[in-house]
Amino acid sequence: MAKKRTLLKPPKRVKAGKPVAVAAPSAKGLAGIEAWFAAQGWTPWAFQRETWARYRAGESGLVQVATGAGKTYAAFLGPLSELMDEPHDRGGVRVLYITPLRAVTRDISLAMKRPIDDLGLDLCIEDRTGDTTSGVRARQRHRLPEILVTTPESLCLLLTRANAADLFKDLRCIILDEWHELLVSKRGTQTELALARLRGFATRVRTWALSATLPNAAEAAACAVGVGASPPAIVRGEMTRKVTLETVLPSVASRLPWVGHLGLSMLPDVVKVLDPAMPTLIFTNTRSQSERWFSALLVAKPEWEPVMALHHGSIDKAERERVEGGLKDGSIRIVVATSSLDLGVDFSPLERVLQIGSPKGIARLMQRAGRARHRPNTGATVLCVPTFALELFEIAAAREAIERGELEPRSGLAKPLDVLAQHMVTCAMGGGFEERSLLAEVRTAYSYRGLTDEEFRWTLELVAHGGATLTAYPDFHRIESVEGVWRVTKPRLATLHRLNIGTITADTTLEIRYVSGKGLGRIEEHFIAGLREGEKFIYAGKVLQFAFLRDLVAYVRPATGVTNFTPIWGGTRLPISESLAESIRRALERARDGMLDSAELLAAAEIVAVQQRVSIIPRASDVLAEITRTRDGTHLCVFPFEGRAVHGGMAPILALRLARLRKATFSISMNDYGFELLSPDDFPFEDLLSQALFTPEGLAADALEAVNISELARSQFREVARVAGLVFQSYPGARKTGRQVSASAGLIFDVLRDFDPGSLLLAQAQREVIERHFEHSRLTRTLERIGRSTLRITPTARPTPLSFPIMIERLAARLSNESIKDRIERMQKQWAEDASKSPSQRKGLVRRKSS
Amino acid sequence: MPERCAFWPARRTLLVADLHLGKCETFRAFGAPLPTAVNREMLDRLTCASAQRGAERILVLGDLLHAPAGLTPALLDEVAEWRRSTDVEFSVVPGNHDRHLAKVTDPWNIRIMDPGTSEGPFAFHHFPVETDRFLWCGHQHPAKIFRRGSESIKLPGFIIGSKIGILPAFTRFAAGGGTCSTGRFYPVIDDCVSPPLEPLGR
Repeated sequence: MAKKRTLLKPPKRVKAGKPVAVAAPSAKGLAGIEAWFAAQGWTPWAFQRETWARYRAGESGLVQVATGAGKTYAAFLGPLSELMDEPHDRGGVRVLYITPLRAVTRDISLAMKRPIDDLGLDLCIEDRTGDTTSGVRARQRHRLPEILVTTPESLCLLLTRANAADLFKDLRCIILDEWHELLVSKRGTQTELALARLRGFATRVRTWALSATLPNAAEAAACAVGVGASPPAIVRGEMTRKVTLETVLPSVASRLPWVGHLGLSMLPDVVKVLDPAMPTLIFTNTRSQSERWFSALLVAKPEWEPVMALHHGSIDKAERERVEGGLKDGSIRIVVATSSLDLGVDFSPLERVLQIGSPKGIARLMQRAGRARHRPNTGATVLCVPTFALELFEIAAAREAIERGELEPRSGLAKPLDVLAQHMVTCAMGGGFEERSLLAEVRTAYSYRGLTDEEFRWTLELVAHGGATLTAYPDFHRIESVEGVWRVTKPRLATLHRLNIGTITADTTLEIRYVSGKGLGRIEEHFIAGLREGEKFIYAGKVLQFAFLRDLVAYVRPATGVTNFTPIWGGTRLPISESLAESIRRALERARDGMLDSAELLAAAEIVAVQQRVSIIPRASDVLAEITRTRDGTHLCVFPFEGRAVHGGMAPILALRLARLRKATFSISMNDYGFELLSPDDFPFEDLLSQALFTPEGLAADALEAVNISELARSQFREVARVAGLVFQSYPGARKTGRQVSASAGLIFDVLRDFDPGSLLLAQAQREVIERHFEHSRLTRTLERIGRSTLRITPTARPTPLSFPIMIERLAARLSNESIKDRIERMQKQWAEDASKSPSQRKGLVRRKSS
Repeated sequence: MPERCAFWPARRTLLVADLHLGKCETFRAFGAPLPTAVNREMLDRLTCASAQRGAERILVLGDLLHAPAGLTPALLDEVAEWRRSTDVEFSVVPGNHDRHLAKVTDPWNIRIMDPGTSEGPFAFHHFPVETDRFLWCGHQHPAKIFRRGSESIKLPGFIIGSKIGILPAFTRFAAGGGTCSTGRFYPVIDDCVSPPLEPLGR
């Protein structure tokens, strides 16, 4: 508490004669800001001045600028200058700063406090997050500080206060930090709704969003400022830093495997480039990959142990903070991380960033590269480490895309009703709402601009009566109408709602602790369920031994020895982005034409040669389809290079369309490059495959028929149920209360499907599956592209370097870990032998195998 | 029986376990809208199963109820009405969820039996305990996950061993997964009870 006091001014003192309280000519504030900048020895960037001026002119908008380029001051000093110019009374929040990251609120508060202190302004700045102490919370219940730094969830919690309208009536400016991150998730949608509410409370409020460079900036800005306002301004920061991409190439060319994703074969080469004298961040794509790399590095370089650390989202918060702190003060020099360190605090001493495995997206890679920022006015460099040979193309492609400035657009979600349901309860608690006015207000949020009366009505029914069929849900009232105003009348439900606010779905994870009591983080229930007592596994970079499970806590003991057993966390594997995919197709075409114009493509020369010998390499305007017969059956591998999600949607549809021509069953597997249909029998793909099978016509109907949407929707429903308040994340008071109402979302999905199949929440889960899981719109675009392309049907005698990894995916789904490894080795050996033999011998081999 | 119950012809007794009546009502009381039809379906399934075999007694092996918050007047009436419509005897061995069983004993015309009561070759309990006879019990909600490729399906079923028989949860609104090495697993697949299957993979 005492520590906080030094940071915060007690808001009680009201003194006349303070500089702020004096009315000043309108330019004075900005002049003061300019003077403050000069006193720091800085000159404002043009984009900062532009933002201040536009803010003062009453505009809202979006600032596109890289992290660390002064965006906080760009957004904040405009409203600050206004506060300096206008006399104001105490009380009521004027500036609201919303960030997706709870961990950075303190740094942001400190940055904003600097000019306030230097200019001697009597303004109070506080943060409000899940970590805020109860004393500060109690004070904020009645009055908020002039400047409040918070997260979307904490903001929604404030909106559940009965005096919400009063708390926010003096709001002038809303600043949305890292908007490109928030935008694409339900947290972003929730923020849009909260902002629509705030604009209802404070009509003069202006909104400024801060985001990384986006190709669809206008849309992102519209999401931030809402519908109906004058068109938002878009301000571009001129500081676009050049990102350079280099690759750690294997010292021995043959070392890079043709299949894989962990990339540990690159360990010796990575160890060579690492140097504890140079603070380095090593990004991986998954949590289990980060665990494996961390432990492998420790085995290779045990002497680095004191300066090396692991950071991912499931690790205990205290440990993560220790790592972040260590990076900042230089005591930790090498950190293996996942996307948990993509955003947030600047680690100024960072000198180097490594990316292990596919960069997946261009913006993502640039964001990661940007974490190393020690040299001003120089570019950021990222070292890419391929995990298998084909990733060389991906890296070459990413470089080309960065040079061309091609970035992925980011869009908000289309009117998710679960988020609206949660928002309705929030509004019902925060002073209540009238139906018509809430509908009008909700429609000012960009994501809900097309919300129909029926959808609104249905969502209201959901929270009021449980569903559209009144009789199905007797005695259910989360909100009740009192003289036309909807309110939450039951205190127990209000408490439950506060505890469950938010849209982040925690997986069914368990806490993991030492038997001695120290917490380590969280782990998937699924993984623990499969563990036997005494079994060893790697977690948080440590070898642990499972002891026992009690009260949702998995107890472990430290262990010694070596194990490769790593938890696998849920979460879908991120597919490569559309922009990167396009660039990969171009890189392949260059390789095809012998233009090995980068180190990566040169390193891939061998694989290029083999692929060209046994099959072809497609041009950017081709779509390659390879047909191979092995003892497993007839394989058709199609390579659209559009990312795993699209292939996952396309494969079953093509299978369905082929099976219509001739009855057959196929097993399906896919990766980011293509997909495989395998028929156990001889199937005449050569005769039946045609461009016509890829038509986007009838796509929706075929998708419904081909894919077990229902099963996928069931897993997607978890998020929907959580947000709409059908399952509870936490419970007040005793655990006992919780047990009576704990049920998995899957179970609730089954109950709803059997007993209320018309539920719109089920429909939403299905919609989310189709859009998110298969990237429906991207799938349509892909099919259209294939329609314009040349389909190159190529029979091959053996699996090719392109098809091999996909076939392995199928084996991976079927076999246990150990046997896949053996099988891969065997296949690869066969391959090498085969390649060295003459064509006639090769033919003999095939025949022998297929008999 | 595929209705998730067992029939004992010699005593004309239908054995069921884990009905969790009022579970959806409990959820509704806590603000999660779940449909009430779950109870109705269960009562109908009970009626069907007992009529089909000509049962004269239904013996519930514990967890007839879910929680006090779920005992809404509507539910009390619905079950009382159902009890009046049939002359089948209704006995309950209390389970861990049945602390408020006394509230419904009279209106639902229930006979309460002591846990561990034995009849003929069998003993009846809610929990799988050690007895000197063949024990019928519930509580664990046996179910196993069967996978095929990326798809998986969870099937409830019976666990039958040499000295124990564990019934699946009668309600469809209950998570399963209790596993037991004391016997083999007989999954319920649609309208039949399958011979023992071992789940593929883990």
